[in-house]
Amino acid sequence: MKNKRAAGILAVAASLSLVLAGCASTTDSAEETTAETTAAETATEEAAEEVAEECTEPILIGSAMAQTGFMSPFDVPALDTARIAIDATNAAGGVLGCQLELIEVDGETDPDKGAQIATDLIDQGAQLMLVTCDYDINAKASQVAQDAGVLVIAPCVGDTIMGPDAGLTLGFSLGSAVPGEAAIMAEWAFKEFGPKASLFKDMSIKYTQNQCKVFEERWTQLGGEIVSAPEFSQTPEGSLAAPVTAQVKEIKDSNPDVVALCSYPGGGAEAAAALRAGGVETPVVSGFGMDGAFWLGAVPDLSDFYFVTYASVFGDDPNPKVSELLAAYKGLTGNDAATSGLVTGASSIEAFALAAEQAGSTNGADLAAALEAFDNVDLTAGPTSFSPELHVNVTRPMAVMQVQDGAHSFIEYRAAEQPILN
Amino acid sequence: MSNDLLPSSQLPGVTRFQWQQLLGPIVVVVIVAYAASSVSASFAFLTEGTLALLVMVLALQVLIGNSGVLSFGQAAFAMVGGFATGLLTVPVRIKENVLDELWEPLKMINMGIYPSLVIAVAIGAFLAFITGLFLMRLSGLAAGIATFAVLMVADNVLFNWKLIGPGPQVMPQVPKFGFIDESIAIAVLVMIVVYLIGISRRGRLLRATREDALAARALGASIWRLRVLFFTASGGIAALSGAMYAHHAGAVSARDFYLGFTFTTLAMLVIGGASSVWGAVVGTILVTAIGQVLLVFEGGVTLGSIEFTLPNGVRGLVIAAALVVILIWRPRGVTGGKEFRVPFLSRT
Repeated sequence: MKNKRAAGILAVAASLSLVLAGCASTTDSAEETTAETTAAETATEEAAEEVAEECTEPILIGSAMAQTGFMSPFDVPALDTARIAIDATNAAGGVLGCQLELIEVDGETDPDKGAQIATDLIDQGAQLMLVTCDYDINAKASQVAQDAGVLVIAPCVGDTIMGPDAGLTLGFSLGSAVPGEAAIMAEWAFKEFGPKASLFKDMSIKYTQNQCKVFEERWTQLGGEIVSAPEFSQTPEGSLAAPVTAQVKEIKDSNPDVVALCSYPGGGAEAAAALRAGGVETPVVSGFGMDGAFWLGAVPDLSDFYFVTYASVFGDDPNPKVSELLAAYKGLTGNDAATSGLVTGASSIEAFALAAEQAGSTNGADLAAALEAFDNVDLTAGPTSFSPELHVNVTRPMAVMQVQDGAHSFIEYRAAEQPILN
Repeated sequence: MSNDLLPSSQLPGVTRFQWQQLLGPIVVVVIVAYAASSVSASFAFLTEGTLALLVMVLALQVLIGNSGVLSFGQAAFAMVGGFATGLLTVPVRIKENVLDELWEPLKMINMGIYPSLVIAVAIGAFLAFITGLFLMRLSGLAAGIATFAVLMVADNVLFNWKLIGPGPQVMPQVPKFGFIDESIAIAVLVMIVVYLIGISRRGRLLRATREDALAARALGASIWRLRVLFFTASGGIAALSGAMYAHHAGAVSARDFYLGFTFTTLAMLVIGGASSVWGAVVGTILVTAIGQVLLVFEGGVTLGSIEFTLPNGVRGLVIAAALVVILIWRPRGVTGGKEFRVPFLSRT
């Protein structure tokens, strides 16, 4: 009898948690999925019409980027612009005379799922793998591509670890990495607001940890002072792991000129809301992680919030390439871009196409060698450079944005005067 | 002996060694694994991962199946095993680049996969022994919660303490198994060990304590000592599972072994039948198969002129529903907790 009861308890507990797990992974937006399906069909049809004669089969590009899960707000738009760039490339004659064809499977922000998809797509002949924009999530999928000798690009990873440091000689990111991004945050905030900064550190992922680390280093280099640095973390589902009341109080008591928030939504949005609710009215500076208006529901009428990101998606970006891409994006999906990380998706395809033409092949090692020779190559994401040591950009100019009364506007493009590389 | 008091026909779990009970599950695992991995590269990848899960389910079976004590905490030992083998096998250069806060001696160590697996098992078993000394005084709900606390402690420590691991990030470049045969061989080895432990004198005594603690005590069985022993064995096997997983995925992080992992493997055990090796095997295969079929449906399936598509994420719900249905239909799991028996062959 005891055994039966034990089994019963087990069963209830296990089924409950599976239901919870199920709910957690269903947080996708039906709209986005539909839009993507239509887009994929259009892309395939166009590709079929224009197959170049000397090419027997198209060049396959595999995507294991996340269409659901906490990375989907970053991945979905980047994948959409990759699709736009693929269509544009195909219309202009393709790469090495071949049309590009995208095969995509939802990586679900799940490292194991990503690795399985990468295995499958490379088995089907993918010459380029696009993986999710967080190194911790894509590490396994990237490793699969690396082992198979296939170029792997995480369009918007902002961490220099994506590349040779982690053993990924074939791994690149078209993102602007934290050593540049957080240095810009520090340089700009120091100039605008003065010497006393609080760090509000989200310890959940490496991106946010490095962001505050770089900020702190650059800030002290500039002669600034860090007056407090409380930490918090969020769950894999993207909400605060615990209330941050005490941390907010610590920041408030230290009386900073500016708060550097190293985080991303939803926990980052909750943290921003907690700051304002806790009476911290000082300017807050953040990075690409807090780009976009989709999380503002958590902090209505937010003001004095600044962030450094790729470009402005709010219609006021001075770069015509960006405006063009945003218009194409709206045409494709019917939506305005949520965050400017999407420029990296198009740039990934642009970089792949250029590298393939220069290398004369789609072999992973040849492509990597061609990419490593990039020196301020003009892509939609801005001037792009790689080196044998660094497969992510740190010197590219980035947009400084502001939020006042819940509305976003562009301030300026700025490059880091002194990126902090360790 | 306990067989005289408690006739085996009334109890799930076996008492005497029978070749068919041992060979049946092994043959099934070997055939299914080779068949599945020959389908495609991604199925081979999935199969290798599932073999690591099977070893975890067997780790749970050793403890839960024999003692009846609930444990939500064995994933903690898998986490330890995964981290241990990762730290021992990741190239020194990568550790220096990626894990800058790691304790210096740990940075410098490097060895092959197999010696590292042995050490991982030893560390897992040792930690399980220490925790088991305290926790195995509990049973029922109290044990369930206390073991869950172990998982939370392990997760918090390993997720935050960068001196002994990668902290919240992943540890990349863990060397991978070269062939699927390696995972299959390890899984078969574990099946043999688990079966032999189960039919051993201590295994039978522990199952006696599960059925009637007082009677077993009257026979001279120390419930606590037996449980600590099996908790230790379970911890060692769980660590092996975590290590296999690390060498399968090529990277490892604390989040790989948290709630999702815990409940997937528990569901596998309960659906298959907790009191037999055969149950563990059937549950692992069944849950994986259901998941894969649903995955195909999520991608869209055309039957005749009608296309079926399930919304993304439905898998988790359907697996949960299947768990409930199976438990109502067969509370002791699909196999009823019985060991493998060749159908229509002599009843023994």
